Amino acid sequence: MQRIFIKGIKGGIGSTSVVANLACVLKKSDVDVVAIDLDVKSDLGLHFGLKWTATKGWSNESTFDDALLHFRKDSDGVLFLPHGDNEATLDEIIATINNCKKLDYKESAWIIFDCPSHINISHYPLEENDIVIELVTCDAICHSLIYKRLQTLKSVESSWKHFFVVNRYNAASVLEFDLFSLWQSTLPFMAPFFINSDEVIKEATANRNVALNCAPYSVANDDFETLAGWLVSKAAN
Amino acid sequence: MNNLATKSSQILTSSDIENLARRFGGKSDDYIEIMNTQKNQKTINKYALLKEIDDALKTSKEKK
Amino acid sequence: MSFTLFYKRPIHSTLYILLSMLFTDKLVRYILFKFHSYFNQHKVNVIEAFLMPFITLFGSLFVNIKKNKENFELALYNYYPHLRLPYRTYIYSNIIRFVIQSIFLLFAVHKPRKKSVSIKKHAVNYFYDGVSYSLRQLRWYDLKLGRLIRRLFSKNNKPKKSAFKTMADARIWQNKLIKYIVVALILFLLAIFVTIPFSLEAQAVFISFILLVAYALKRVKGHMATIVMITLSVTTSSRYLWWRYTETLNWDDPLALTLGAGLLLAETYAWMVLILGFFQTINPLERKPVMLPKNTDLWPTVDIYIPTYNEPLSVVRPTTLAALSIDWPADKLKVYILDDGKRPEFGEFAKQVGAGYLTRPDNNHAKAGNMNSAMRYTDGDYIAIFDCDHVPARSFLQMTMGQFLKDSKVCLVQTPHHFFSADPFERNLNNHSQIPNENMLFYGLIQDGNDMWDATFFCGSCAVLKREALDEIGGFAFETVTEDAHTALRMQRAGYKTAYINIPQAAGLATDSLSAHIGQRIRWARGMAQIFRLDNPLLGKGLNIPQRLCYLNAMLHFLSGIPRIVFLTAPLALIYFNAYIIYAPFLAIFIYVVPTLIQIKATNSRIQGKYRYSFWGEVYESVLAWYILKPTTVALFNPNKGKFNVTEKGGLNDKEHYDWGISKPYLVLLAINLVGMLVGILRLFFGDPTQVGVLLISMGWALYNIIILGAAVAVAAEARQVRHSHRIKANFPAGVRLANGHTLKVKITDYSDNGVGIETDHAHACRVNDKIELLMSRGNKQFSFTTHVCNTRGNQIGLTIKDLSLEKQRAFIQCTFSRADAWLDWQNNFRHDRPSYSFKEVQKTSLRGFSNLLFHAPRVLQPIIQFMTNLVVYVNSFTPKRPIVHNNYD
Repeated sequence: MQRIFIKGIKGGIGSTSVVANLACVLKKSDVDVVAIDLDVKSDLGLHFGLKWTATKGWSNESTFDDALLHFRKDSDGVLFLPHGDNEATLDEIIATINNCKKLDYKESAWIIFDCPSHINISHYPLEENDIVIELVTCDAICHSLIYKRLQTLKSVESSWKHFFVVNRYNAASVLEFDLFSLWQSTLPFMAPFFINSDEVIKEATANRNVALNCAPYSVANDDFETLAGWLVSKAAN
Repeated sequence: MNNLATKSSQILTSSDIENLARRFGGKSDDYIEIMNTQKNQKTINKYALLKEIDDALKTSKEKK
Repeated sequence: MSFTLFYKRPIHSTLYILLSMLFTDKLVRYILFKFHSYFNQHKVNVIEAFLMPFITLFGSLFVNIKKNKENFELALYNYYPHLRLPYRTYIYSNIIRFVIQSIFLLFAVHKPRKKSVSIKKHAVNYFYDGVSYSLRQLRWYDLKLGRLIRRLFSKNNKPKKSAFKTMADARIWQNKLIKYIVVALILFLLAIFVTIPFSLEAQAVFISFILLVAYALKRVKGHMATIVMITLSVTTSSRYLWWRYTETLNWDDPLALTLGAGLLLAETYAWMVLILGFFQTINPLERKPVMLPKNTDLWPTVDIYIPTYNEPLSVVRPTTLAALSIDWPADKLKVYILDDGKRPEFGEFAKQVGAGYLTRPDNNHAKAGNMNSAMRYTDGDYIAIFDCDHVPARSFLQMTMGQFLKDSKVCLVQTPHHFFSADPFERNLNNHSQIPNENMLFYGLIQDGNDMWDATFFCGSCAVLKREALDEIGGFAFETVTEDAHTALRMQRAGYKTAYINIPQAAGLATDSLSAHIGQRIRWARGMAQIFRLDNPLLGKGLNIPQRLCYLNAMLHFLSGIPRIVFLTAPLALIYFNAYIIYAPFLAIFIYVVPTLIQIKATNSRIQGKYRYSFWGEVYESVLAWYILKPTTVALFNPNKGKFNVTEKGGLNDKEHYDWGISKPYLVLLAINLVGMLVGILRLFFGDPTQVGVLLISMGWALYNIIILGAAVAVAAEARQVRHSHRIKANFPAGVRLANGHTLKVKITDYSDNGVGIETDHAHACRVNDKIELLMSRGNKQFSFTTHVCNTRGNQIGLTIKDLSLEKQRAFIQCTFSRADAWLDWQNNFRHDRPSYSFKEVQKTSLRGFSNLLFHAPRVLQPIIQFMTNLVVYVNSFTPKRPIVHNNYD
């Protein structure tokens, strides 16, 4: 099972949408995909068409076996586990991550964690094969946050694969264009692509769906497919 | 592992270099995409926050 | 019948009474009814109207007309398609047509299917299959043998090579003695085959055998088969020439002798060009680009020269922007505009974009002088040169510079000149990208063949030169008008090597009118002749034999003026003057000439098929023949005469017209050939019956000439050039972001310098005048362009791009013209040559030429032409036509 941790470098980057869209795109290639919501906002389910009134998740249960009951499958076949409306502690989150290892899936399966932006990734029990994607947008604050992150990454013995991916990219903006050119050529760990800013992502969520299903001809969909393909190549290494 | 394989963005990236490499049997990895260092420096100098970060990093590097 | 009716319709009643004596009442009523209907409704005259019902009745005795009426009409149409409608209006002429066609159908079409015919066909097919099968077996053995040899003799894992190639590349050839012995042996064998005299029957058998082998080889792919074809061609053409020299000169008749000698010299020229051509292109090198080291600090410095004289800034701008964006470290790349026109707006532009701007006080020696002067102010290790309209791809330097680093003896790397606009032939004949254009043979095949012999020469643009080599020979050569070829020659003499990369990495404008095109060729022809006089590649040191031969062939190509004119007028010698220029019986001519020509055409088609279609070479030569005659002859005698005339680019041709000035030579030649045909026809009927055979051959040849000249005439009809900015076809992906924030994946189908055409299944989302953001990429960067929808059609949308900032202009060029794969398809879009199809195309073009002549004729002649045309069309309507045959799929 390949584990992917997706987190925004700060709040509001759109990490949950990315998790949902990525999960559906990966599912298209006929492998098992599991999405786990570690964020207390518990909004991952809404992207998968979960009823708004269904507010319970793994955080409401004391054991993982009970939490298994909250697994749902969306219309595309993605399995997801909502967070629930109980604020979980860091230890509980870590426990959930470790428990997910016990899930019985083939080696080709993907398990994607939607991580909250305020918890530092290094607290999680990460292993060598795990991929961490830190989502950024092209602005000066993220620029500063990236460099701060790079400093911490250097000091900690990071054994996992860490990457930065740009979300909501708008080439028409001069600042975004210049910044991305700068990042592309100078920053380590920067992915060679980005996810374009596209209305359809917002509209899809409003329609309780994902961009792939609402607008398969959109550039954003193509970007998610690129992301998926790139992850496959990184996982294989 | 997955039959998505290495699908790269259709719109982005070096598809023109890939076509070229395919034409004469070379490898697209051998092509060097040039980094525009002058432009990068211009960008850094243009925005004060970026400049400050850049200077701070440079001084910390020199300290090492 | 009452008497009152009788008075009112006297004729009718009389007829009624008369007929009722012979026929029954019903029949009489039918006859009269039909008569009335024909007479009154169809306005047929009385006699016909009266006869028609009888004819119908008579016919109905044999055929059930009513039932088969439809079929009958259809059959009538199919078998007699040229009867003019409506049938009855042209009844008399239609009857004549009917009769002629019936005779034709009876004798010509109705051929009894004999069983023996099919057996014969079977046998022939079987033979063909047998030969081609055995040749395929040969190739299989060849490959197997190659592998065996490779395993035995070499350790490295080279890709599959045929035994021929392995042998050809083997070490054994390094030994000069063995090389000479083998060559001598081959020549000896050849000499035997060529000179041994055959009786006519033996020759017929020999040549048929060769033709059969050639035909069978059509389906066999691979280099071995090409070598076999070439050998056969060399044999047959040499045999032919030998026969001509030894047996066909008429020493008794001085007129025939002179004319015959002229023809013979022309044929010798053609033979030399053929043999040299085979030599040149026998094994195109197809050199692969060498990649540069990963560390860019090791890369050399390059200056890019963009010389210009009087071209507008709009032409130079894209080239400069593209050159500045070539993927090369910015500190090692400098772009210079060399402006001989000394225009201030160019200087401003250069400053704006960060390019250098160089001028000089005088304009001596045109482009060469310009570049020599620039060399004093620049100091890059290498110099890349682009004509001001040749836009380079971003990968240009990385594709070419590797050759220099791999071998320090290399002084020149040349790439193809590709045109994104139509040249005068393509534009005026309206066959852009349907037929390979004229310069494709040179850049696609000949230069690649030259590269094999290390004889690539500089073509003035789209190339990189080593500064050191230029300094050694004293800068660019300026003594001739083709300073590029001369410079390369000098560098080669100095011991340097040259290279050619057959991948188009730049594209520019073709000459925009036939006169400009011819002017350019005149300059090249003159320059080549000058080089031969001033710095003869056949003499002097520094070149090896293959290089000399390649230069010789290039030179000979420009001497084709006189031979081509000889060929175009030779058959008339027999027709007008009764001079036997080929002094041989008709049968001998037929057996020697025709098969040799077929064989040679087949070989050339095989070798050149992707780059030049059969028979178009004759058309190109005919167009140029008269014009390059004089400059080359003058230059050969007096190389210093003649001035450098710059080819104009980027001009606008605003209306369609016929260039009578330029087409005078073709019209004259055409006229004498047409008159010759008429004279020939007269002589056929009224002349000496023993000469019928040779007359027919001469007339056949004259007809061929007429077709070629007709095509040449067609080229002179200048088509209207509507667009100022050229639209280039493309096929690469892009994206758009609509005003509502949604994005769409699209495909770019074409672009020009101020617009883009896209294709998408969701075109309905856009309306005219919408503002759309176009997202295109170059490498791993994505650029956004503000565009407006200017039209939509089906799933295609046209976008205009206006008022771009300089930065955005540069980005736009990078995403479109400068794409590394922008011109890669140039060779792949053409099917391989099929001679018969190609000839039909030439015929069609020729007819177009004639119709153009008539269409553009001066006003005074119009009525005569109109009359003649109508007369011809009318007479033609009587000639029998093939019945229409529907295939079973209708």
